[in-house]
Amino acid sequence: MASIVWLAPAVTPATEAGDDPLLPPFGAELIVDFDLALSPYSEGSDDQQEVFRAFALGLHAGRRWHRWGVGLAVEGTLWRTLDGRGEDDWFGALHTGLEGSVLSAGGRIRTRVGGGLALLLEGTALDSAGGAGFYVDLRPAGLRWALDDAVVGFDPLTLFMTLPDAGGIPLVDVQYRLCIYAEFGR
Amino acid sequence: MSARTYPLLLAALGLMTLPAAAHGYSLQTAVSDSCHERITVSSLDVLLDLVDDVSGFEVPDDPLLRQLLGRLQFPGTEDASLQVRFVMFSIIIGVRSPDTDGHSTFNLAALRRLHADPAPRGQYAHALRGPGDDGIAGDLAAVDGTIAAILDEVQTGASLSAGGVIADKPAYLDHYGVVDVPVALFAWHVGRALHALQDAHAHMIWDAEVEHIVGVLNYIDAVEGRLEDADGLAHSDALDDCHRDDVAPLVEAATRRTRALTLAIVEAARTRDGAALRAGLAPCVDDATDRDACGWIVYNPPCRAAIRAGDTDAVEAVCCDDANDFCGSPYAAIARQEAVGPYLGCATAPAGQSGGWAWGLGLLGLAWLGRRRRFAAPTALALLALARPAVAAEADEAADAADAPPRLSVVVEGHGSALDDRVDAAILSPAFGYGVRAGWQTGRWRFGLHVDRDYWVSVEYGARVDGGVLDVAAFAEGLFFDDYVRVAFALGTSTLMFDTELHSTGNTGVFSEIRPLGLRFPLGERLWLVLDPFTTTVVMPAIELDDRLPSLRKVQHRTIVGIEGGFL
Repeated sequence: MASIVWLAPAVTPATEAGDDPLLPPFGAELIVDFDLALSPYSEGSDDQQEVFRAFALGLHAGRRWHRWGVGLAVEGTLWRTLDGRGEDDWFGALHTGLEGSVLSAGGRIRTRVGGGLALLLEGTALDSAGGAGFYVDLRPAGLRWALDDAVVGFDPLTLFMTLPDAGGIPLVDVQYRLCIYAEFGR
Repeated sequence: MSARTYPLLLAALGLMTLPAAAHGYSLQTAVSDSCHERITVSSLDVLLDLVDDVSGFEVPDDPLLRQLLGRLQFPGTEDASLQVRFVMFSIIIGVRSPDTDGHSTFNLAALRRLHADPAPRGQYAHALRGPGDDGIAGDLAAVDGTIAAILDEVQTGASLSAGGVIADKPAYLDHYGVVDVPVALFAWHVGRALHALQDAHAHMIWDAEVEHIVGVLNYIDAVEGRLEDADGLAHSDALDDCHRDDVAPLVEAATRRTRALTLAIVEAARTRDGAALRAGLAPCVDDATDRDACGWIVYNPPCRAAIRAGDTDAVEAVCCDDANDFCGSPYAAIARQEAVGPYLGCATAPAGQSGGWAWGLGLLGLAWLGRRRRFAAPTALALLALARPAVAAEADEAADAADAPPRLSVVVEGHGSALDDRVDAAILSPAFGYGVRAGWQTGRWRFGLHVDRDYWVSVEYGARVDGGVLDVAAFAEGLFFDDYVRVAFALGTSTLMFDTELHSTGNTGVFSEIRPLGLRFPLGERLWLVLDPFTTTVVMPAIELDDRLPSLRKVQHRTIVGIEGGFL
């Protein structure tokens, strides 16, 4: 499935260069986007094939000045690890933070970095409920397509690192992700 | 193990990839020297001399085990039989087991499970106080708990010795990950018992003569940041360091007692009489001639008696703690050095207050945003500018290049990868290398040859750079958005360039790579800087069809930077 999504840019027809100004409607000033992130690149070290190890749903809102943007992010994340018996352990965390972005190639490519607070919502007996830490979300390059009233985007490979329990031996999770989003703006 | 001794990794990867460490005498890793293995191996001639007397040590006909025994070398066993090496192998797997449970020492999730285990028994396996072991009585409870843990391992092992029971146990191999290998359960349990006894000399404060224990350290409360006076001293990385001169008497005692315990275990297995074992775990009598055959782990006898009698005056008079400097023990001062704490300096929040500071910070951040209508772009955004394709400034040149692209392109590139996001895997899997790609362009598509050299960094049993693989592949790539964006696929062969524990140089398998979104920055009319922020690259130089043998397979997310030249 991931391979099919990866092929998407390959069927996109080339368009006029026009990097500056941004192609409409890429230049909206107030933006809200909803995104879904998955981790399709992982698998168990025990060779158990799991399609997605992590899921996340996010809401992002912000302001854009020409190609530069800043915003706030709220994201709920679920991810899986294994317990000592080899059974699934699921963790849940709420991530909220600041992010900055920049558009290039006429608005058809977006680079975004974010980071902030990670709040553990669901863990194991070893974790303190409500434990807090931080996260980093690196999305170095993603593709965007304009629809009538919105923009849809695709970040094929991003890096997300969360540390929602910084106490004791910290709880750390690394996720290489695929993200899709719909952006609305005016 | 030194739990906070990872400056190299901190510098390289930042706090978020801080590897946790097993506590207790250190295991051999990239960032710590072997203590458990060294002490154990120095004692094993006792066991190996007697292996033949214990029935049932048949080496299983398992391809993975045979491969490992054929390639792994343990000191002192170079000329030993396969049977002896199997016993040694089983003991070593057992000795590492309490600290890693067969996982990588860089598998943070596994280490949290093992070392943050709030059950007292989980701490006694490392000769440490349980979470409820408070005050001087807590010292005694921890010592008794450790003795019980040793006895339990020994009795379980002894009960399995006659039948030569074999079972699969997890072990970690660099580059392969966790594999299940057959071990002789008797020997595996012996290893676990030796681990606890050795840790008793790293986590307990002994008197000057190393004859009895006057205090027990605490890891679980210390690492959680909730250590109080009644919890005892925190686990000390200094006392844990078997290479320090000032703890040499402790290490020597641990080595002698490891040999003695090994001897007693084998004796018990042979004769079904645990007299030697009981004597070893009891205090020495005054006229004992062989001081190594007794008193392996003895709590301060007068204090034990006072606690048992409930005599508080006597407890105050004869027991040792931080207030009386552990009765003058020379190891008390060492035990106060390099105290363990929360890895990131963050204490676990008490119930009902958890996360309050975080919310406070979040609200402060929002308030800051609200107060400032206009604010300078964060530094991060300035950094982002570096990632922006130079399309505006070089638009004309790029357009020209798009109109008449060179037909032959050659890219020289370097790559690196560091993190692994697989379930239950070590968080670190570093690799780096270089490569060359030459392609022929027709329309927006290019087809060509990719060659790269990928070096692998081993981190589990010592830091070293291994030969890695040579990858040769055919690639296809498409250029989009006026050639600023590149999507590429490659498929070919991956050839192992060094000998692993299971495979030899020259083993050849499959290489595949997807570069989902690379960026090209024009540097001149026929010169580009190319950047692939992340790829998904699978190198699989050894493919095994036998379920008992692991394939050698790495999933890398490489970051690639290169220079592309256009010709013709």
